[in-house]
Amino acid sequence: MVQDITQFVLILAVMTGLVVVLGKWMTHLFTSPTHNIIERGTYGILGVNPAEGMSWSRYGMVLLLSNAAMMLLGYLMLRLQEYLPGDPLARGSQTPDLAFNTAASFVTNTNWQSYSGESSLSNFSQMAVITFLMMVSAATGVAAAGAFIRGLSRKNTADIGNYWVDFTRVTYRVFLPICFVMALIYVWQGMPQTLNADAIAATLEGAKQQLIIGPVASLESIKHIGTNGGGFFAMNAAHPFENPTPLTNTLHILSMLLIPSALTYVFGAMILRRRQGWAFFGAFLVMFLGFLVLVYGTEQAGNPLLTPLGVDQTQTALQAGGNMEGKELRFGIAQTSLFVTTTTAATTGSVDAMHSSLTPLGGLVPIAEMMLNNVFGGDGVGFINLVTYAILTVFLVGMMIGRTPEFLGKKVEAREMKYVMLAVLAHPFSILGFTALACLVPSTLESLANQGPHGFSEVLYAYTSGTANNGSAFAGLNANTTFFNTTIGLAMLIGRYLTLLPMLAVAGVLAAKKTIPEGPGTLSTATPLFTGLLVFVILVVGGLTFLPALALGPIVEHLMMLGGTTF
Amino acid sequence: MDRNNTNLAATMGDLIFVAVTLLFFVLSAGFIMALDRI
Repeated sequence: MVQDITQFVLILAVMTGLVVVLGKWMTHLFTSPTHNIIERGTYGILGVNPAEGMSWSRYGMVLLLSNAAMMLLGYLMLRLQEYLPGDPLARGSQTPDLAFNTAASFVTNTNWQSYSGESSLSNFSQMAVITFLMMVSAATGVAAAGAFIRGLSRKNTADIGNYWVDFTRVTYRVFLPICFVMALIYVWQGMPQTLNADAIAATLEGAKQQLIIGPVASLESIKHIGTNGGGFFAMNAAHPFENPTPLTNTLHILSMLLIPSALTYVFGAMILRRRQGWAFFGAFLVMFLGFLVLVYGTEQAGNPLLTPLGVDQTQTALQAGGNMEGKELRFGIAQTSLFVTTTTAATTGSVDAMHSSLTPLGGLVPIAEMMLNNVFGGDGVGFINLVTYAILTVFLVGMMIGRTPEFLGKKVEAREMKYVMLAVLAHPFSILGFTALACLVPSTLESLANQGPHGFSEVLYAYTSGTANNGSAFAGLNANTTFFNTTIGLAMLIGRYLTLLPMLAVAGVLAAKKTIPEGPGTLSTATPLFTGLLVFVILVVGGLTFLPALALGPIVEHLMMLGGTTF
Repeated sequence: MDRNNTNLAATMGDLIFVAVTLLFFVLSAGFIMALDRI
């Protein structure tokens, strides 16, 4: 127990240290007026003017259309895979519905996988489609966050920055250098990085076994730094080639938290209110710790039905104890719990354990984190989601005390609240709407591996994961059907753009406003009190929205387990 | 005959999913313009 808590504290302390280091670098990136020679060359090739200031609508339109082009390119390459070079294993093209799902998944930074990587994708597709889209989708999210913060920090202007400049700088100055270093570390730890498609190994019994290999380390590095999550292999980060050692497991966790947490520092630095950035970091951390305690506690407690059968579930020096079903022995309960909490908090979707095998309350944690979608959240969008709720909190508190709400010295009025509510409502609309639709479709039962509340959780998890752009799977649901590929694909697109675009509009509207001096009635948003209020509003709104659905899934499953029934 | 049917189904599938993709992004572009008018 002490050892487990010590490693939680150490990892979170390292993460906090990295917030400052990367936060300073990214602040420089978003505020520097100069472009380096590679960036200038890129602008020349793209034919864009880096000096052009964009309104929020132009910024959003450029972001949207560039993403559309990349999604169609990805779709095309997945459909033509069998004709493209570089695959001695001659893996076929994906079907149209699967290619749509995959392209939507990776362009939205979701990385939901209805396919198995080793049997479905060539090394060329893994690099030119999957790794490429991982990189650009993450850069899109961080660029949008940069523009969003810039909009909040400016006054009396419609200019929130230039999308191409943000996108290019984030790619060249953040993702490429960090991923290069991480890939080298991963290779050192034993991950394959090769253009060969397979290797033949001799087993202990003397049989020959085909091992699928490829450019795994390069994919793994952006997969976690970019909060992407799609695995080279079907077993994702539980596969020893994707996660060979406890060190890589720890680096995966730190990588996932790196950029979402650093953006709080960027925010504080760019709006010249450092305490505000730390207040938001505190909100992230409080929610994260709460969920970590819940999943670690329930997994370490294990399944109460096994105790009367004589199963020893206590943690000792010789065994992890607790619920080890679906977990890697080499990671144990603590590292797995931290990974589960992190991958759904940062909406990465990488998994080093099977989430379907978590205890019911342990399984509630990843679903709840994705439903809230702002416990660190994905690269860029997680921070934007948190500010969405901060504005909502300011508005609610302002209404309670009868004053016009203010945020960062600007009045929050009806127009921006409409945008905020659109962003807040699009998320549950997609999750609950598609889940309800799937429950009405008879063929859904054929896709389920479990019945009862666990089966419902599998469907709920799928649409929550898709809409939150997380991408992890609960396991137990065969999602490679035309219905699921299409509806989860649409959920991913809705979850990405219909929440992001209204918040870019908020940034644009606030950028155009003048600032007003703080008065005695101004609610300070950089205090522990506001951090507490923010967390309260997030949990209350999330609870009111999703508790009925959770009650039908993991909560009733937990109660039935206590009554002696499992699924 | 079966091969022809498979190719036809795949082509129809491509047309449908490319159309769905384009429709989504066109509607999203319209969404931006609608937001701008609020």
